Amino acid sequence: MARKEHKWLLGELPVLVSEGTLDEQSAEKLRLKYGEDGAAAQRLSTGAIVVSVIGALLIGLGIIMMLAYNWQQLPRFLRIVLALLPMAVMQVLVVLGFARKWQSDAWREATALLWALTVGATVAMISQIYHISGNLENFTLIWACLIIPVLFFTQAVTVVGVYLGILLAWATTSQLNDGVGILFWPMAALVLWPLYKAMRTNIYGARAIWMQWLTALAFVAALGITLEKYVPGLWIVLYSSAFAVLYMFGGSRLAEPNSFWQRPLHTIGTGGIIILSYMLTYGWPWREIGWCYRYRGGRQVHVWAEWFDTTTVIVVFLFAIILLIALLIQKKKYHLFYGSMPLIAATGYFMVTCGERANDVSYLTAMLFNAYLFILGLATLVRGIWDRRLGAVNGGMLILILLIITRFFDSESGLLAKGGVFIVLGAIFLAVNLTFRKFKREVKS
Amino acid sequence: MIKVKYLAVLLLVIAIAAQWAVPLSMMSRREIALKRGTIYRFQTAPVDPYDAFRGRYVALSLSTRSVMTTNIFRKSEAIYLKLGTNANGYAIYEAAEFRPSKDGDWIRVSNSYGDHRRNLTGKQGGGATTNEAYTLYIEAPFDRFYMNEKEAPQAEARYNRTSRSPGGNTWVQVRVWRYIPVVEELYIEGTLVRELLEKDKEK
Repeated sequence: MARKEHKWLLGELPVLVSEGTLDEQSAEKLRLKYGEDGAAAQRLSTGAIVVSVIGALLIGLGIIMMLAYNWQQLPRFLRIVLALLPMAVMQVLVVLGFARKWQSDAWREATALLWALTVGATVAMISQIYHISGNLENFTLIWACLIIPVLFFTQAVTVVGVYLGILLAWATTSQLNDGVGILFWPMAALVLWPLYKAMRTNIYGARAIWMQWLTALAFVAALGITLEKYVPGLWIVLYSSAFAVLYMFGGSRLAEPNSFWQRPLHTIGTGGIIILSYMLTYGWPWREIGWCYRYRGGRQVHVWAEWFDTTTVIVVFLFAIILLIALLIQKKKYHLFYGSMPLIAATGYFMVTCGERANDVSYLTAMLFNAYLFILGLATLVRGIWDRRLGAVNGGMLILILLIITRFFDSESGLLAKGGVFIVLGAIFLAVNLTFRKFKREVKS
Repeated sequence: MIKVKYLAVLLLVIAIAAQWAVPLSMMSRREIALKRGTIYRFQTAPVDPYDAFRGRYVALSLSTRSVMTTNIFRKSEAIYLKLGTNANGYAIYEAAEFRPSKDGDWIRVSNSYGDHRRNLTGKQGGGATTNEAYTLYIEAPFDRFYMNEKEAPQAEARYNRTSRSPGGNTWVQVRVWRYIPVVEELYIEGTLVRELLEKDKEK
């Protein structure tokens, strides 16, 4: 729960006790948990985890650098022992932690992170001792495979981050070396188990929230990396669908009053939709796209990976449409503005793809997204005013101002006119904020 | 509940076993190669890049880079190379096959450059052959010699002086055992690189 909700709950307790809904004993327990002391204890615990993770990271990197020095004066046997020692020590520490039932999260996170790092360091050091050439692609895949049990066993957030990072590095190098990075998806899906466990323990807990952030960000990055990219422009439909899915799925799963930080999927979805829509207000993403421009830039073609591209786009798009229909049924009108982006993107894509006058139509699709982003900004602004949420009001205004300023800069107006528009927009922005704050103060009093 | 605990312990045992198995398997075959393998000298042309994760190394560019063959290999397909020596005693590739024969020493490499002869047969490797022999280019099966961050640049400077002179006497000593080549030593001007650097220090 955010601090705002803590305050609200503490304020409600006397009312609940007087109504007889809650007895005094339970109310006291809640006061202890969510009162100043409880919140301070929680902050202290989070602080301890952050500090221990940073410490573990520094120690791990220090060990890697010290081993990388290459102590060639030492006999080979001793160098092998030095290479294996950090991993062995971490294994012992993790076994100790497990035997003591992970008494602290800070201990669990720090040892798990060091364990994951030392596994990679050991493999790298053995390669160094025997002058094994290897390559980043094989190394990252072996490393990722070796820390899968660490992921399941410790269920630590740091290991989830390291694991997804290594997988992304592998998928990137694989694609760059004419390979296929599709293996990323089944391997990354393994993260869902610790995520599920963390969410089941406490859906609003720091572990669950962090894991959601890491997983969602890796998902967004991997979509672009693992695409075979044989049909230009497919990313427009794919990313608009993916962001809409994150927006709608994240919004439906967690309650509205939570902060942006506590709704990672929703936040990434919202940000993604706005940024992508803004990119699509330009003409360049719409030019020379579609099946007529199939290419692979001279690289090796993987026919089955081409099918993966098409299937992924269709599946993610259909999922977005199903969620959109669910929103329609639930009559959540405001969310339809954001959720409908894949439909508009797909319409634009089919308008420009392969037509005889595709480049002329690209101007129209850019205009379509200018209109869409304008409506999105307006809807966010109105929703903010309606719900009395200053954040949403400012968000809506920023979208509108960004759009107006950009289009105005594109025009051939003189500096005087441009300056005037800037001043007017700035004044409106400040006036709305001042009025809104005044209005909120009046409502409170 | 007990079952879950046993499962967790089992998972821990598997994790630890796998994490030991990988480095130990990497080590064991190479240790045998270093003890029992046949020695070959590959003439080299080192340079010095930087691998942030594994420290500094001298990059090895082998003089032996190709072999004449009629076999067509797919990209990433295994190539077995038969080793021999030239008149100067340096290693050369004598043949490139899909399967090694029992005579002589062979090393296994991956075909990095793809099938550039498929137009001749219409097939994509996998056992296909051509009527006329062609030059198959091979990516070096070993391309680095690790040294510490102080010595690697010195080795590079020393090499640069040697390699530009005609007939530069620089090679890497490799032991080959059951298709695995293991780099043993780097020689510059016919002397072990470490000994050479020691001599430089004494001067």
